[in-house]
Amino acid sequence: MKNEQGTILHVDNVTMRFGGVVAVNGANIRLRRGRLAGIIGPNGAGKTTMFNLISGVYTPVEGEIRFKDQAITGKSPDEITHLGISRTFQNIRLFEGLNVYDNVKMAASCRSEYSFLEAILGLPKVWKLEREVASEVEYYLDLVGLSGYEKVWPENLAYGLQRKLEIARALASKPELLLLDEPAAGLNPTEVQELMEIIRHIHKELDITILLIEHHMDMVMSICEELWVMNFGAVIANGDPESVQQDPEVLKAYLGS
Amino acid sequence: MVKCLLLQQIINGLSLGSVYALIAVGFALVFSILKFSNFSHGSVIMLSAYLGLWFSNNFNVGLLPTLLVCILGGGTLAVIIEKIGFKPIRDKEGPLIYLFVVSIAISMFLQYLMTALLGGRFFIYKPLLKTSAWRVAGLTIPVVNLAMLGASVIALAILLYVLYRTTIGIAIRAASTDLFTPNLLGINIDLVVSVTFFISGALAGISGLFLGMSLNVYPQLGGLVMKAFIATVIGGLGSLGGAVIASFMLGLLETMITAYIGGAVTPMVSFAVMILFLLFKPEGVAGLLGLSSGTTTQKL
Amino acid sequence: MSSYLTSVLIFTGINLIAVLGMFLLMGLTGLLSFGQVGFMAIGAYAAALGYTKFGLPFGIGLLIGIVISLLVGLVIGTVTLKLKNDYFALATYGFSEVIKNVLIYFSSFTGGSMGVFGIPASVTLPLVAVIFLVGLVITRNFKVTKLGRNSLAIRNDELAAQVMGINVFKHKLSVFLLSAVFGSVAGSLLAFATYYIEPNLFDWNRSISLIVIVFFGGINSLTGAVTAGLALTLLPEVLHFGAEWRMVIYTFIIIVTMIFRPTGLFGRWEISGRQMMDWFRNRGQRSAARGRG
Repeated sequence: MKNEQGTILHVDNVTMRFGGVVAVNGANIRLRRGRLAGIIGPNGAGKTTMFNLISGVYTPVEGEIRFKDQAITGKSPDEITHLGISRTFQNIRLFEGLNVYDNVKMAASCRSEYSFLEAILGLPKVWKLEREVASEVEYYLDLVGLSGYEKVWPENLAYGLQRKLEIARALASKPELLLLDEPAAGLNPTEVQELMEIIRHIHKELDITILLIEHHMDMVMSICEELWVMNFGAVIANGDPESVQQDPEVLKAYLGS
Repeated sequence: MVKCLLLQQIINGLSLGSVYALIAVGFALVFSILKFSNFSHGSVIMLSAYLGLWFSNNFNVGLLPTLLVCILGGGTLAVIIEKIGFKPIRDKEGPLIYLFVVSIAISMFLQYLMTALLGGRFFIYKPLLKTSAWRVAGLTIPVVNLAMLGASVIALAILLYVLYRTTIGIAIRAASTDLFTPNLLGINIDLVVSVTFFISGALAGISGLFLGMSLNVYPQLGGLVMKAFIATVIGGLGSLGGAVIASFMLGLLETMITAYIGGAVTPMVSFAVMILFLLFKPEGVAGLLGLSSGTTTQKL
Repeated sequence: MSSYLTSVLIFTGINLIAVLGMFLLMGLTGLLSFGQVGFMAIGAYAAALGYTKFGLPFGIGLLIGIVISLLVGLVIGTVTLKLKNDYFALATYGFSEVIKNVLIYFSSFTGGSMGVFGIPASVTLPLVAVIFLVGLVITRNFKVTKLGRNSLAIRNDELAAQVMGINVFKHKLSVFLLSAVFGSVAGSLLAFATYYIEPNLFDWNRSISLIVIVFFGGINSLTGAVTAGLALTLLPEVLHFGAEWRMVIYTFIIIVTMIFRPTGLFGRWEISGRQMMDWFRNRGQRSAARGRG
C-alpha cells in the first residue's frame, strides 16, 4: 500500500483504437510522484497517443487512467488540467493571437478567482488578482530564460525559444504532473544541453513530476530516472535507463532484427 | 382528386429537388476539396443566368448554344473568382473561415453590383423550349424542370466519368482526402483547384440557365445556394451522392410543408432538419447509406 | 446641432453598440455569427411591443428584451456552439431567419410584415452616448482580463486552449450571451429612435455590415472596430449613397481587406490611456518650448 501512495499516475491496461488501427494496446504505466521519467520508442509506437489519453484529448476504448488515485478516464482536457496535469505539444501550439507574456498569463490566470460578471464590470478585485498573476508570469518566464521577450509575438520567436515558451505556459497552470512531448525536437546540440538544464532545474525547484517523450537518447539517458519503452502500442520494457538499455526486447525493437 | 394533388406535389417536389441537386453538386465539389462552403457559387449561377439571357436574346439562338455558353462562362467565372478571391488566402494559409467570409462577400458584392447597375428588375428569357408544360391526366409537368432533371443526370454522369476515369479526376479525388496528396503525385495543386472550380462553375452555369428560364432573371437568383448548402449538409459533408439524394429529399420536404402547413414555416423546418443532422448525424445521408463522404476528421 | 446630424449620430451610436457585441463574438472569440440581428430584432420588438401593447416605458422594454435575448441565446447557443466554423455561422443565420419569420407569422401580435407603428422617438443622443460608453468599458474590461485572453486562445487553437484549462464551450456560451445583450440593447434603442420597425430591418445585410466593420477595423483591435464602425456608418450617410451602392462598397472593402490585410486595418494596435497622456505631454512640452523660443 505504501508504494501505491507514492504513485501519482496509473495507466491500467489502456487501449486506444482509431478505426482498425490499434495505437495503444493494453499499456500499463505506474509513475511515482516526484519522478523525472521518460517514454521512448520508435516512431508510431503510440507515445503521443499515450499523452493524448492522459491529458484527456482522447478517451481510451479500454482501461482506466487514474491521477492522484482519482479516475480521470473520460474527463475533458480542461478538467484534467485543473486536477494538475499540464502538457506541451510535439508540434508547437502557441497562441499566435497572444504575445509571449499573455501566452503564459492565459494559462496562469485561467483559474483566477473572479467571475465573468466581475471581470466585465471591472471590479477592484479583478485588477488585484490580475496584478498577482503578473508576478507569477514573470517568474515562469524567468525560469525558462524568456525574460525580456514579453512583448514579442510567439511566431517571431526562434524555434528553441518557442519550445521554452510552451514549457513556461504549461508550468503556469501549476501542474503536479508535467508532460513534455519531444521538448528537444528541432533543437541544436547547445540548445539541447540548455533545455536539459532547464528541465532538471524545474524538476528540483518546483518539486513536480515530469514525464517526457524524447528521441534524443543522450538526453533521455542522462536526465531520466525511469523509462518506459513503447513499441506497436504496447509497453515492452520499464526500468532505469541502464537496465532498459540492456533489455533484449528493446534492442530488438530498436535494431529491428 | 386528393391523390392527384398529392401526386402533383410529389412532381413539384422532385422538380424543385432537381434544381437543388444541380446547385448542390457544384457546391459540394468545392467543399470536398477546399473544405469551405463556397457561397460565391450563387453569384456564378446568377451571372450565368444573365449571360445566357443576353446571349440567347442578342444572337437569337436556341437552347443548346446558350447552354454551351453558360457552361463555359460559368466555369471561367468560377476560376476567376478562385484566382482573385481565394488563391491569395490559400497562399497565405489563412484560416478556412476567411475563405468562407470572402465567398459570402463576393456573392453579396456581385448581387448588389447587379442591383445597382440594372435595378431590381426581372428579366425574362424568350421561350427556348417549345412547350412550357405537359399536362398528363390532370397533372402538370413543367418541361423546364424535366430538362433540368435531364441536364442534372447528364452533368452528373460526365462528372463521375471525369472523377473516376481521368488523371485530373483522380487527382481531384485524392485532393479531397488531403489537398497536398496530388502534389506528391507530381500534379500541381493549383491546377487541381482550378479544374475543380471550372467544373463547379460549369454546373452553376447550367443551373443558372435553367433557373433563369423557370424563375426569370434577377440579382437575388443566387440566393438559392442556401438550399444547396442545406442539402449538402444533410447529404453528408462533401459527398456528391449524398448531396443529390438530400436535394431531392429537401425538395419534397419543402413542397409538402408549403402545401400542407404553410410557406412561412418552410425555411424554419429546412434549417431545423439541417441543424439536427449537424448535431446528431454529421456524416449525413451519405453516412446513413454507407456512401463514402470523402472527409476525414482528425482531432490532432 | 442640427436635427439631421443628431439623428445620424444616434444611429451611428446604436450601430456601434451592435459592433461591440460583434467584436466580442467574432473579433476576439472567432465565432462568425449571423445571429446578432436576431437578438437586435428581439430587443427592438420587446421594447416596441412593450410600449404599444402594454404601455411599458422604454427602460422596462429594454430590460425585457435583454431577458428574452438571454433565454433565447441560452437555447440557441447551447445548440449551435457545438458546431464548427461555417456550420455555426449558417446555423445562426437560420436562427435570425426564424426570428424574422416568427415576427411575420404571428402578425396579430407583431404586426407581421407591416411592422409596429407609433413608437415614440424618445431616444436621445446623450442616452445613446452613455450606453455606448458603458458598452465600451465592458468590452475593454473583457479584452484585458482573462476573458479576453481565453477568447483569443480559443480563436487561435481550440484544442490547445482546452488543454491549457479553458472550458471552451462554457466560455463561448458566456461570450455568446454577452454579445446577445449588446445586440438586444442596440435593437431596443433602434426601435425608440425610428418611430417604426419591421422584420426586414433585421436582415442578412445588417449582419453583413457588422461583420464588415469588425473585419475592416481588425479582429484584434477594439480601437479599430470602433473607428471602422464610425467611418463606415458615417461616410455613406454623409456621401448620400443609396443602399445598393453602400452594400457594393461594404462588400468590396471586405474582399480587399481579407485578401490584402486579413488582420484588419488596425492589426493588433490599441489606443491606450498612457499613449494619449504621453502624446499630450509631449505636445505640451513642444508648445512650451515654442513659447520660450
